[in-house]
Amino acid sequence: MTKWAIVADLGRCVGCQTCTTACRHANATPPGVQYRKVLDMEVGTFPDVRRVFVPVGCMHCDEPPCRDVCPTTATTKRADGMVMIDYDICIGCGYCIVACPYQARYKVSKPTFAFKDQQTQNERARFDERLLGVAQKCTFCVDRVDYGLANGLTPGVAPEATPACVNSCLSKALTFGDTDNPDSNVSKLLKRYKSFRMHEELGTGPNIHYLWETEDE
Amino acid sequence: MSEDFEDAPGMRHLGLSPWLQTAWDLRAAGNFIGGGTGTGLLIIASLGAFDGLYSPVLLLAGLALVGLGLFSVFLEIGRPLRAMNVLLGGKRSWMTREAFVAAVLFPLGGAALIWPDLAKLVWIPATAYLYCQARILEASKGIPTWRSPLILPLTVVTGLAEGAGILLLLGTLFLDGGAPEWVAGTLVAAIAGRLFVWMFYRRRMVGGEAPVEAAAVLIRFSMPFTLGGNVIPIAFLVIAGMQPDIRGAALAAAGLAAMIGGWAMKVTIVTKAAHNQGFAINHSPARGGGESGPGFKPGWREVTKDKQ
Amino acid sequence: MSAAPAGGGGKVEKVQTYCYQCVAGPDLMTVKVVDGVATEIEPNFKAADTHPAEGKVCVKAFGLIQKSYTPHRILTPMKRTNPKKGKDQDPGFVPISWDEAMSTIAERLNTIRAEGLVDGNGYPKVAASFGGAGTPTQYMGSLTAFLSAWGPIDFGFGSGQGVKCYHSEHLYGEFWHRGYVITPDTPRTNYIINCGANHEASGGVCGVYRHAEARGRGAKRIQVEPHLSVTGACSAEWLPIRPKTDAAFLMTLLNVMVHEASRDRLDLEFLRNTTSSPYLIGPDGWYLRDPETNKPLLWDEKTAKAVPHDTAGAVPALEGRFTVAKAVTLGADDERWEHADVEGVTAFTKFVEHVREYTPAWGAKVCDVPEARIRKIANEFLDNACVGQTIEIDGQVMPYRPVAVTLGKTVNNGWGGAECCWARTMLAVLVGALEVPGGTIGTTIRINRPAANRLESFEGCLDGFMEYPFNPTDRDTWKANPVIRNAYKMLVPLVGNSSWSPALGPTQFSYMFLDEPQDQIPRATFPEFLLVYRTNPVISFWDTDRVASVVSRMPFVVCFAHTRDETNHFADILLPDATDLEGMQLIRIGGTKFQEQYWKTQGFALRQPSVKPQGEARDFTDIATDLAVRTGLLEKYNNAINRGSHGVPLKGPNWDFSIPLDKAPTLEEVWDASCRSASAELTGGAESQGLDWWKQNGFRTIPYPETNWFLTPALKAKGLRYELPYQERLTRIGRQLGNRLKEAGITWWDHQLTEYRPLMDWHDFPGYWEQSVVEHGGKVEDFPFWVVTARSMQYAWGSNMHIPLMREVSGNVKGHDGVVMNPEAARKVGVKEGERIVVSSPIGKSVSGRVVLSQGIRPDTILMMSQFDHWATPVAKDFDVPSMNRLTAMTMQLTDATGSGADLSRVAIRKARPDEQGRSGEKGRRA
Repeated sequence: MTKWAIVADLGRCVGCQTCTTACRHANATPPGVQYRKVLDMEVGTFPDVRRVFVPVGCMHCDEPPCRDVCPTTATTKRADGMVMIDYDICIGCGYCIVACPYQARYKVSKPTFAFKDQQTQNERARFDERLLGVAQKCTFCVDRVDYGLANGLTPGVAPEATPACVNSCLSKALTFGDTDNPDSNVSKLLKRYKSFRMHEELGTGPNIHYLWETEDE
Repeated sequence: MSEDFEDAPGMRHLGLSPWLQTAWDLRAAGNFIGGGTGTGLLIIASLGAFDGLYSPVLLLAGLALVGLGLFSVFLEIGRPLRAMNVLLGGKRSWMTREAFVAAVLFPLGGAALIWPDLAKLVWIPATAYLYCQARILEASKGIPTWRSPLILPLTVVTGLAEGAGILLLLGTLFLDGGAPEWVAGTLVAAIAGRLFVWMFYRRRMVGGEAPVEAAAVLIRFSMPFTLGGNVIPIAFLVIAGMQPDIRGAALAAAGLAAMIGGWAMKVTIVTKAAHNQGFAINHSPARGGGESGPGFKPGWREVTKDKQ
Repeated sequence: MSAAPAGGGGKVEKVQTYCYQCVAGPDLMTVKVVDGVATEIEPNFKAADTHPAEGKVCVKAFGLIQKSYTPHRILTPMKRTNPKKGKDQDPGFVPISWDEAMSTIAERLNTIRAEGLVDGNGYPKVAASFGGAGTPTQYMGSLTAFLSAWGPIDFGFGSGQGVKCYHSEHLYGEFWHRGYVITPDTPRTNYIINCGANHEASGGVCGVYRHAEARGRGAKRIQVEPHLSVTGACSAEWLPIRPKTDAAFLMTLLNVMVHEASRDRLDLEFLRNTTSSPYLIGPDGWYLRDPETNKPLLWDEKTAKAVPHDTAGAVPALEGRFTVAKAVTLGADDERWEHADVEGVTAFTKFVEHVREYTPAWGAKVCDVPEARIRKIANEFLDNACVGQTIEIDGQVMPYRPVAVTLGKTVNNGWGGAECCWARTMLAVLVGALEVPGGTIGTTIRINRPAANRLESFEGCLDGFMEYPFNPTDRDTWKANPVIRNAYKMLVPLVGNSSWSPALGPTQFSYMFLDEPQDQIPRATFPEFLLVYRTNPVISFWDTDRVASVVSRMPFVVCFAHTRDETNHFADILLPDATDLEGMQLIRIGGTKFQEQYWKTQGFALRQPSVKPQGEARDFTDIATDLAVRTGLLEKYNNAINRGSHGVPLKGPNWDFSIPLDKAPTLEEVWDASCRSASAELTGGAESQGLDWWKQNGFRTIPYPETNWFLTPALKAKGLRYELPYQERLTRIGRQLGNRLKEAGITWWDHQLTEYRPLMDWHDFPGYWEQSVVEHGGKVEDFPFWVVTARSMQYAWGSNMHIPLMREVSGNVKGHDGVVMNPEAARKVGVKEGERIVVSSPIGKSVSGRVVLSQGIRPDTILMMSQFDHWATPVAKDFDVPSMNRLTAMTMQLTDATGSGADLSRVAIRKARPDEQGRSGEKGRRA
């Protein structure tokens, strides 16, 4: 089997938001809709303070609560683990938004543009009416992954087959790959480093793994 | 920067702690209000039919409330023309199941207007509908105050309290001799049950199962709710028992207060104490040759695990 | 299913180009163009094996699409119709034709040419302001050839140089080890002490990548800084130091290393043979020299005699006092003294005695950091230095010293910057970690030549050091009159006289002296013609209100303008140039370059139009050619192109693609010839692919040896030493400069002369800023806070505040929407998160903004990120976020000897009154 996942190395991430912008470009999302973004967390009190940058987005959960609540079957989970939304079925009830404990989903009801009411050429070229009034979120750049698979490329290794956020990451904090394959890039990282997953106690089985320390030798 | 998208705070670096969800607003609350009160009324009226209670007004009111609730949520969806797609998700979604049940409830309720004996069956889909509503909230894993298992009894019991309340109110207005005696008793029981569950629910939310801000909303709401929505109705019932000359008005007031108390609770839970999960890390990372550090769960009372 | 995002169909092109918006570039990227519309920026995956960060580009590059298509763009040339210039005046810009714009400009320029290029006071009549530390030239096509053809131009109107740059580091770094910018050898270093450098925000793609890789293999970085910056966040530890006390901290580390650690932990061999540590100092403070040759002496332990420093086989004594039978010392201005039986003390011993007073207890008090942490850091530095170890790179065995010290803005500029640079370099010197693998190394050179290879940029001098192109201070050749308004050549010997020097000089003087004439130099005059490109000094300089006032009085200002901004608000003509994704240019890539661009290749990259220019925007090369034609400079201009003023000489040893001198070249002709020349240069003349090939391939490189990253082997190969720790040359030059100024009757530079000392020492540098409060008539206690700033990766150098995408994503990073302050400070002021405060500085200026609470900042310090405060730039003018630039004093007193100041001020803070609640921005914001 295949299970796509992202491994985010918190020791490497610098919070630069390059992934955020790369995702905004790749998915042509409207202003403020950030399928991928990096949180800036401050932990502790002066002078014993840390600042941690945490990439977040759809976790493509093993047991996605968004899928479970969807009344239309617009949200589904593929055999390879990707949680998908069929924009043509979704009615935009917003139930999945409140079901997601990762705040990963967005709903935009009317066209919005970077320069308010002035739509720029690139926004015009990429405007997608299907996305109005329905739920949207990170797709793990499924179009790239599927393109890669169809062309014999390894997602997470070949850039053409890899999510835009991962491709763009300056610090190589983000890695995409198949956790079911013990020899994959992500499996190797998970062996070498200690990791946790966000809100794991909720039983969602999230598939962004956060590396925080090297595994003791 | 556009703030024209839904359900995220303006400045994101502040959006670490849970923030109030905005995907479901008063329109969604309206579904829980209409559906809860309507099915509560239908359940009690339907069970009352075994005791000889039959009133088209009650049936109509119950169905209308449920219908209004559904219409209210219809106003919230992004693609209303595709509304019927709501029926596709029966395998998993309690929202679909609610719609399925509605598809039974309305014909049956309508038929009961023609064939009164059928009124004795209405409690079955009404109860199922009320249960679906409870499960809809409970399945919302992203909202800690909704996903609590206690939301199930709370939703059901408040539906019954609201139903009993409105029955008292409508009984005074439309039924000869008012609502049957046992309705007041039912209301007392439902209110007692509601207060009991509320107490536990509130305690668990405040005790760390909900984000601090959501818990604060519940704390602020608790006293007015306890008094206005529960103690006052009981007081009116007591007055009704002691002062026969204003009995009808007192019963109606008791019912109204109990119902509005339930509505207020739903508005509060669905739109005010509806903070999402927020974000958390179990550990601060080691940066290069540095040491790792504690985790962080902003906006929550509990402190996450320290460094292992 | 979720289908592919919209807009992917149609005719898709992937155009290779470069991003050089910031000094940390260039980085290589790809623009996805669908049906002629640029839709996505991507890394250039084809450069994954060539570019030091795998062909990636940072967040700023992703703003370029909005930059191209912004509705706020200036799309035609415009002229001002309101003759009054002021912040409050509507310029009344109206569109005009290119012909009218160029005619107007040419008419001005031709009048100047006819009447003389220099005015009566000796200042060039034409001035130009280009910001971004050299980045504008990566976008201005062949304009450089026009500027070269023109003649004298005052390039000294800065837009942040000296204030916002590593000024002292630039000058002293290049002086000591040919390092204009100093970095760790990040791929190999294991321990970095970083005082204030912001690698993760301003180190560019390569900086971020290399430091992440270093963390990945366990390197440890200690961030020493008043606030917890993005870089502090990514460091192993944070030491919140009191502002401007870094020199004390570094000197304390030196103290621990020479007074607490055993000597054998230092690299004694390096000190003895690769530095001037063994040179003998006479009682008068000058080197004891051989009376015959004038060469400095050292004590040879083998023969127990003083011998010239380059005596073969000598074993120099590192420490001690020795009696020298016969010696001379050379002072300033050819002073010469003869000595007999004189005591010479080694420079190292002088140094050891000099730092004795800088104990950890003392440092802890000055810097407000725990004494134990200082001691621990010093010892960890020694532990990690690997003294004695070697590493082999490309077959060459070199010392391996994986420890480094880096400095950031405000630490390495302004008063105290020189001391920090000296102490930092000494930390490296003590363990032999200067310019060797793993250690503290320089990226590139800008004052010395040839810029392309710093290893070839020096010859030895008599004293056994690298020769340095000081501006003269001797009686005969000292420039008593400024050649440009900022007087760099006259006042700052270290800044040299390369093409970069005018913009490195005390650039604030260009503005200051216009209103504050200085004694004994010709009064500064307003240039008759000011050209501005990719810079906004009215926002990015010190005391911006004052800069605005000066710019508003410029007689004729031409701005290349992308959108309206605060500087071009005062322009007479606005010209729209084909911007990043629209223009064409071939630039050099590779080798070593700031910030952390260390390549293993070198070559060229082409910027080619990904999309058509919007509106009437014109390519810069076409503009430059047009200007050359209209000003009658075509032959000189073409000549300059043939010489390579635009980046590539068109003629080489066995190739010649020169353009004819008498004909105006087209854009394609210029760059086709350039491409052919570049191809030839990279292949020794064997190949000559032109523009079409480069458009297809984007870039081309040849290997650049990694061993070239390190200067020490080249220095040793020439038998030279680093002039450390003792600064005899600087002392002499300072004395001579002092003599010259005294002869000229100039006293206003006296304070700056104190920086010329043989051994740099701690002064109460924070006190200089406190003194500034008093000078402005205030009381220090009324200004209890320090304000500092920090770069933001989303904005640094980008001139991109008008791009909404940058605003949006920068919102994810704390500090972009207000004034960062510690909750304890907020409590004192009586404000909460999100409330508005008014921040005032001693110069009588105030700004206001919302409080952003953070535990990651000292309670005595506030932080204003980046430099916002816009009032004309679209989008940015609605940010409602303050900048410290308006608060910072621009004074002689706060100008150091290199001509720089620091981003620092004492400030007062109070809660804003209800009537001071600012412009906008409250909407949609969560408390």
